[in-house]
Amino acid sequence: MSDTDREIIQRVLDGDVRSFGFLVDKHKAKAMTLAIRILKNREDAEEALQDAFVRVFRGLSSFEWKSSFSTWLYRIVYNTCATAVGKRNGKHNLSLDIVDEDGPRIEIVSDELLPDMRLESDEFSKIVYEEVEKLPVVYGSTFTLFTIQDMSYEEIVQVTGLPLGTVKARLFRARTMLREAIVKRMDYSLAIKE
Amino acid sequence: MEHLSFDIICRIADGDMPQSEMELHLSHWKSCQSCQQEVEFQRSMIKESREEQLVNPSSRFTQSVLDVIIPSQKKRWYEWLLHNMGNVIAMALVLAFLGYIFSITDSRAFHNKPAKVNPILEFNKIIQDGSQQLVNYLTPKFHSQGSGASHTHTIIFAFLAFVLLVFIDRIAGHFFRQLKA
Repeated sequence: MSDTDREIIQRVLDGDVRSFGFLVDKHKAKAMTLAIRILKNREDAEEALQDAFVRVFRGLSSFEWKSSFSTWLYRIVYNTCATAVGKRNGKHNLSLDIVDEDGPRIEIVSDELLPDMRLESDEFSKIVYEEVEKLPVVYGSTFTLFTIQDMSYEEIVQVTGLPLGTVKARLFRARTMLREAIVKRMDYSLAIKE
Repeated sequence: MEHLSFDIICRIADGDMPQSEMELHLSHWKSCQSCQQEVEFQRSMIKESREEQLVNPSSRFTQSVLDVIIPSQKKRWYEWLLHNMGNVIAMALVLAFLGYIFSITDSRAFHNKPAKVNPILEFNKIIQDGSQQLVNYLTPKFHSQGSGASHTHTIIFAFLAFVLLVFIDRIAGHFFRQLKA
């Protein structure tokens, strides 16, 4: 059985600094996926992620386990990437939060049935993957925390520092956008097949 | 027909609705194909997103993080020397020790006692005479140049021996690395 985060961190704090590598290996793929969702660029994401892990290492001794280690890690990754987005856009401290997300709520469900989609098909998987990638940063990052990191609303609040209502609104919006985009594409692909 | 709101659809799909609240929507849910389909769609979409292939950073990523957090120690000259030339130095020391042992053996000791041959002294004599002949062969032009020439012989011989040892060390290292790979 692999060591828990707590065991690895204890070893690092006891002086076995190289054990930090196990922690990096354990979390790097999910953290990288989040970083790419925010920065939309592999090189920038990797650079920000390295910076984030160095910050995590330096802050390990002051980490108080008020949240899980992964929640704390993703918070640092999220903030590091937000700072990188700000620098890239020429603003000193751009937050991912600066987005107007109050729009009219769309009631999607209607009497029309959805196109006859095979929801387990490879094509459906491909479309979902591509459309998630196309989501705007604010929605894509929140949606990634919800799905890839499997976080609850409360954990997303801890990571992003956003109010619960905003997190819910972003997720709602992300799901609405995804639904619309996927149905449109599935409709199109069904039409082509016919 | 009034359908369930998208928020409720999502909460049902996520299994995020208490049973008491669920019962309020149950009668509509059972009779409405559109709402059932929407819930199924949301479940599938979230499931696919969760199974999405994660993006890994480059293979050297972990090492690059460790390189930053573990301060690189500046190697001193003797550490560098030991790291790169350790094997050569060890071999040279062994040879120097053997050479010293041979050199302090008085060759006259066994030349004067032909009747009873000591095998160790006999071996010493072979090595001593052989290395001397080798030096003479390699440096014939210095051979007849008086006492100063013997120092030159020593230096040239030591240099050639050192080059040979480095060569052996590099070849051995190369094969060792290949074997390890």
